[in-house]
Amino acid sequence: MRIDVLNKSLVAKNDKAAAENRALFQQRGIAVVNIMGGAGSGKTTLLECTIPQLARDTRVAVLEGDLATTRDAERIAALNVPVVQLLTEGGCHLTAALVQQGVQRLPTSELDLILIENVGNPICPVNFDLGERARLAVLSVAEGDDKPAKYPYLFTVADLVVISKHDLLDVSGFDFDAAAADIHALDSGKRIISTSSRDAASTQPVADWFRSLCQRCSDTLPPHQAGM
Amino acid sequence: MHELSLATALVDATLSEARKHGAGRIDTVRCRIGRLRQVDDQLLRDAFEIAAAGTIAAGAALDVSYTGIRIDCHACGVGTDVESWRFDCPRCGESRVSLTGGDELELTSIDVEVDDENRCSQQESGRKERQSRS
Repeated sequence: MRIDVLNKSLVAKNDKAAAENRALFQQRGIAVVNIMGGAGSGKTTLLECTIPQLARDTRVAVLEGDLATTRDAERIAALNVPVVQLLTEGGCHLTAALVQQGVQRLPTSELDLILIENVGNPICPVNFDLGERARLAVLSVAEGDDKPAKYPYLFTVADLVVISKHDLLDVSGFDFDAAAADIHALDSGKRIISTSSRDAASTQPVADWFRSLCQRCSDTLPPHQAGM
Repeated sequence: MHELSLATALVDATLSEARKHGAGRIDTVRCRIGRLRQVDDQLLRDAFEIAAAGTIAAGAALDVSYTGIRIDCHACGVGTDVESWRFDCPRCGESRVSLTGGDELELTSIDVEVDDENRCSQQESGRKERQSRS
């Protein structure tokens, strides 16, 4: 007997939890960013460089996704912001349900911004909506300029691409223009920011971008909640 | 390796549909997956075998239909199926486009064997359950 299922989504369970997360973030006026990129691309370092710049005007918290260990969470905790380590225990991506558990441990009524660092992996996390407002892709020059062409979905869905470890450009032989061309083939308007952790000023545009997302979130709050 | 997550979801969805129809065995599982998802076919098949083991979907044939990437042009309004990861309108060259296809991840249909005995015993247990509740 054949049973037609009328296109039952395989990510329906995740999408439901993501919608709940999104509703909560909207209600509280919190901007949430899903930060994705390969292992060692510099996601945690980017957080370490930008969070201190945000400290004076933005209340930020971090969810750290990893397969194992609390090492990244310890690095973030040293910056004196709330952080929850999410362990996937072998899973190659975060899920909306895991984020939900993490968010419950954050003081959401006192936050403007939640930065979610996904598991280091340029492929799988892209398929799982977490309820975020924006997506940031991180690619390091050490990984090679062919990565946007090899993992195009990540660069398709990203709202901003950060190309990190710019100080290694000469030794890595990374062709910046070739990488940018592959990214712009997906979306000619995609913004790319080049950063280096050794040059604090280079990460400022990323901190400014985080801030602009918060601005937009508080603008969409109902009037009686704005400014709270 | 999101193939394992997808295969697990596929088996879960399959079993839940099969249960509704009192199926005793699942012969074929059909699904639709968009090219944007970058699913590796062999990894998905291996993962499906692992996820289905020990269930009535064990040994079922997996029939995957991969759907292409489709863009709609913001300038000329024409929809196109694209082969490569270059999202410019091939008709007018416009780069402002919307992705309108290629992100599918869906269970579409299953073939099942409905065991009459199984169906009766299911109805029986349902009746008992209702009686015990009242």
